[in-house]
Amino acid sequence: MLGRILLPSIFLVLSYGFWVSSNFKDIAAGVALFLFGMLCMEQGFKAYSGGTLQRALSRSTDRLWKSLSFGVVSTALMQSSSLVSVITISFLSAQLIGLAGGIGIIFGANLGTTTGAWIVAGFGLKVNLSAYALPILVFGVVFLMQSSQKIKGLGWILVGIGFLFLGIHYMKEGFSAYSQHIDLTQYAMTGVAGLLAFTLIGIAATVIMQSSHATLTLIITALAVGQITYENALALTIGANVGTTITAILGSLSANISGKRLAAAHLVFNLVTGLVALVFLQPLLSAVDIISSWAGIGQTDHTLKLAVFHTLFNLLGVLLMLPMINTLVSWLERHLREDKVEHDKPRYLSEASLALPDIAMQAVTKETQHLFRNAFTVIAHGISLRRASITSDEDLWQLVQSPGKIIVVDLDDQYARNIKDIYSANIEFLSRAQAEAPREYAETYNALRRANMDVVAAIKAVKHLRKNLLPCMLSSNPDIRREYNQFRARIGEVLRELATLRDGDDAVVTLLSLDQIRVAIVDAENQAARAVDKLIREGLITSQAAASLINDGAYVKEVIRKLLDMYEELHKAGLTDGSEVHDELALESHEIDTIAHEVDRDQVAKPSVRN
Amino acid sequence: MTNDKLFEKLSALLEVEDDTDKKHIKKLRKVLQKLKKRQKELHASLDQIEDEHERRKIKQNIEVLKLQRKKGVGVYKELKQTVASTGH
Repeated sequence: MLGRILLPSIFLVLSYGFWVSSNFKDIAAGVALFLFGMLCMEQGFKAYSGGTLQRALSRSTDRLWKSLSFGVVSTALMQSSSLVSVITISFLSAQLIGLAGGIGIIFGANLGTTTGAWIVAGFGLKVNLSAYALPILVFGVVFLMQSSQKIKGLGWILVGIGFLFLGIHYMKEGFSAYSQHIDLTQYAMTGVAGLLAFTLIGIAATVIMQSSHATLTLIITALAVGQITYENALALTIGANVGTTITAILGSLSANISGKRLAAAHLVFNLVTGLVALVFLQPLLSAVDIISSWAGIGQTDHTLKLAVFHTLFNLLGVLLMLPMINTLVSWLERHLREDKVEHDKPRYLSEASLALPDIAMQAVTKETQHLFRNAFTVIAHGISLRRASITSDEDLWQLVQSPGKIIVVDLDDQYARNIKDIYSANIEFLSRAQAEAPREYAETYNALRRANMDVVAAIKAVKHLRKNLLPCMLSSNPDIRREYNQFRARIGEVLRELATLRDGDDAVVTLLSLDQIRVAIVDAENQAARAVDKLIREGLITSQAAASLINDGAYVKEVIRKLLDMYEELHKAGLTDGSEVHDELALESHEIDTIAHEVDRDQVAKPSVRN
Repeated sequence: MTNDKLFEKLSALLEVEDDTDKKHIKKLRKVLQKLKKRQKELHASLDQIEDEHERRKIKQNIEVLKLQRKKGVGVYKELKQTVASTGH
């Protein structure tokens, strides 16, 4: 609703402005170029966010001071607190960092973004930026034409800087031409009313442009030519600082609860900081004067003094909020809770991580593990076993034989509640992430897609199996009962083995141990086939029952094969090294058959089929 | 491009390959050691288990480990030979 009114209103105001004043056109074009420059820079930095930035971020969150420093340094370097916020939300959504670490980064980013004012006030206004902008743009476009992603990234950064410079140049030109015709200071307001009114204007301007950096540049260029008063500029700066939280709030709308908590922390920080700056404006201004005279900034150099003020009140906010970070974390966790939903939802996927291939990969890996945990329960119930029984030390054979233990569940309902939404989200996320990721990620994403499909295929096979399984495990014929209980034990055994494969072990060794499960399964299948032959020969079961046993045996085989394939795909996708070693050592299917056959031959005198 | 520069680039390329081979050998050796250790543990447990079903499973696992190790040792020897023949 708001969008429907806001957007046409902005168009109307802009059109009217362009019609009545060519200087207004220059200023608006400057803002548009500046914003476009920021978008280009973000695009460029994303090319580097795959490796160095992510490694730095994951290492920077074990201590609060590290998170804070990371926020300051990365935002100062990239000149984009939005990009740092988006990356932090994606890390948090994938649960690669904790909320306290994420908040530390956001606090740091608030401080880091104040360097923008210093750059514009200290450099942007003092040199002819357009002279630099055009050559930078030309170099940037040349780099953009290269095939290497990193060089292209550098190209985007240069093009971004070029447009930023051009934007500042046009804003400067527009305001200085304006000052020859109109004096905007006639609209200046003093006192508390002025303070509040201009704070609100600062908020509104930043919400519309979704960039405090752009608002601040606009304020500084207007202040430099005396189109706004120093006092009003201060209020606008405070407003810009509060309004900037809109980017984080918008970014968190599609994020999970962790992303929403982080956006709330951002809002709390900026509101508190803004409030402190408004209430303690006079003492802050005295501090600005002292610091400015100490740093050699002239008494009338209001633009640099504004930069001092911007840094000072954000620093004050960090100092005030830092000791309360743990209280803030527990308050957010208490008040922003995950909705209790009937249907289990994805936990680790977020829009923010789509543009960052490594993070997207880790997020979807975690989500596939989540899907498998849910599938484990559905499959266990499908074969009438409890999850807890499978993961316990109980003898599975004893367990499946205990009478009267049918678990009545609606598998379709369980699928709809615990699998469907996560599976669909994973498949959609993988398609979108793959479209945005470089080609080298294609095989990993394909493996993850196959792992998801294997999970669902295993559940579907259990559904088919269950039709005969439930009546047959209660059959009056002890041989039929035993064979179907063997099916249950075989699936239960594989689930147990997969649950106990040690994650802490070397990943290649863990993957290689799947061959041991495969041999055991082939052995069990061979024994089951012999048992069915014997039952038919001795006339202990009807031919119809034998046909059902053979068909259902095929479903059991399908469930197990899909589970093992899923585990292999999922864990191979996460292998950082050693994938080659695994491929060299893993057994071929004929080797698995040979081992199963040889051990069976050695043991044939004492078969292990449970009777 | 001068000969020196060409030679420099070629050396850099070979060094990367050499490094990849070394990493591969190192990883392979590490995995083989772990598999050997696991095989020893299984052998030791075989003496203490009487249940036929369990014993059969352990014997299968030992055979799997044996074959995986045999394949690994073959690859290891080949890699070592390649590294030795290229003179690194």
